[in-house]
Amino acid sequence: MNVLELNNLDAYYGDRKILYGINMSIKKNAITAIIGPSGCGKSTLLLGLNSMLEEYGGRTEGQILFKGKELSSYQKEEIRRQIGIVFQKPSPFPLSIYKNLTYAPIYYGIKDKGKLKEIVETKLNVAGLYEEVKHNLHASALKLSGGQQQRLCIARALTVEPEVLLLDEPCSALDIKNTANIEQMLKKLAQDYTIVIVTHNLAQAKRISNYTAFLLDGQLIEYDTTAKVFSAPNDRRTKEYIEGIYG
Amino acid sequence: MYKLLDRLLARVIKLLTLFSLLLLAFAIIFIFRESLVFFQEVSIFKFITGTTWNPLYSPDTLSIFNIILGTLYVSLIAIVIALPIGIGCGLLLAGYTGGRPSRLIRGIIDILASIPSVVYGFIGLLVLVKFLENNLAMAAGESVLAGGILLAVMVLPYIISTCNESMTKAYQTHSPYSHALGVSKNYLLRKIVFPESKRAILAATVLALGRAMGETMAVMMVIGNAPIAPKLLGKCQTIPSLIALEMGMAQVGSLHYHGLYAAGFVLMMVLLIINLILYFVRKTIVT
Repeated sequence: MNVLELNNLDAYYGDRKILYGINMSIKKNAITAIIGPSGCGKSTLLLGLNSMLEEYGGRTEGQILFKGKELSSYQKEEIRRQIGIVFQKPSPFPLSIYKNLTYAPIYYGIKDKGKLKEIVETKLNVAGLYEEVKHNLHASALKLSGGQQQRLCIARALTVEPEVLLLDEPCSALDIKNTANIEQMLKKLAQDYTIVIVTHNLAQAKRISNYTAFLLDGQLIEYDTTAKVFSAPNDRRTKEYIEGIYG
Repeated sequence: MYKLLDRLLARVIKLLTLFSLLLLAFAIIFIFRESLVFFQEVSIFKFITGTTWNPLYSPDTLSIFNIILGTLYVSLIAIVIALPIGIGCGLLLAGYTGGRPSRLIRGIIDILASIPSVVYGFIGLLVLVKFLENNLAMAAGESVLAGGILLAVMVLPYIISTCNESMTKAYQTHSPYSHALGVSKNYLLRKIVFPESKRAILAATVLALGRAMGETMAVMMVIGNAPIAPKLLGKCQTIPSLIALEMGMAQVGSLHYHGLYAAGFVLMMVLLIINLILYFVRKTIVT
């Protein structure tokens, strides 16, 4: 089943066209990786998927269907709630770990202390962070290490119960061990969520994703199962990129 | 050659820094010396706690308790009025108007700060004092309240610009991540931007308090200048306006003359103490 469907999607920053006629459908409860060289439009595509692109002064043209309905027909708040995003740079709020996680739920009307506590604990557990921070939930989130901060951000994105989780190179600022932690977690998460991850790390895409999309200069060159893309790509350019000829 | 120039430049910069430090020391020493003559005649305790200011009588009647109270009262009213407006304005400029309109509005607000205080005094006298006379059934509109309101307008630009800087920064840093959760601007401003700006708000308060307590001209024109115990709707006197009013009349070298210096010295000490207290309070706010 397809959660998101893109039909002939273009994206612009001002007059500059970034994406050209992207057609792809994103499968439910799977990990889809978007790969490609720097500046090919991977992040723009990702930001377009939950209308975050507008916050950065860009816009999209064409059609995005979310669960069969035009994305623009949803309230912006609703889209962001259902399609969460985690950015490249770990970005906790300057609050305690606990308050980082209750920030959005309280906004959405959850007042009950017990319920909030439960959300904090489950989401931290899902993100594999609970054991590390359970004794100082009320310490500042800024005191955590980079990898812990990023896992906190993933947990925070999950507190609003999204269906889709978008990740924009979530591991690029992290070391190998933290990266491994996050990859493991994402694999687990894919049972309940639909995940789209932008990465420039080919090995990572190969390790964790079910589907891979290869973008080059704003065009979708190839989109297939990860096994197919990495073992027998249709396009010469995909093959060259994967073999490390450019990018 | 460049090395020599570098060294020379370093020397000059150090000298200039030293010079500005010396200026401060000089100001303090000067005021202190001039008031020392006075404090040899009248004990400082009596000077501060006594309630009559009557320079024509004996030294016993030179004391400024009411005037210190007046200074603090007028300034506190100004802060109480200006702080909420300033914080609200800072938040609005940080979160709602964005880029160009924000800069334009801030430019206009900064112009407020460049209006000479005498002009504020005129406006206060013609508009504010009249308004109070007509609407609050006061015999004379000159009052603590009038001074407070006028000062509030005068310190507002300082509060806004000090707060706004840190609020804009906090807003820009956190808004994408907050928007990504579908959360409203309002909530972001309340839960993150405002708490993040606590230090800036405190700094703005200190700055505004300093400005308010030192302001002379505008305040002098609307408070009635009577050295009595200050009431909200009654006249009062502040230290700067006392000095400005009476310095010309006081005979050079007389006890009255030195008493005014002593009043100035007390004002400086009060401000110093307030600054120190807030400095330590500020340190305890963890961000």
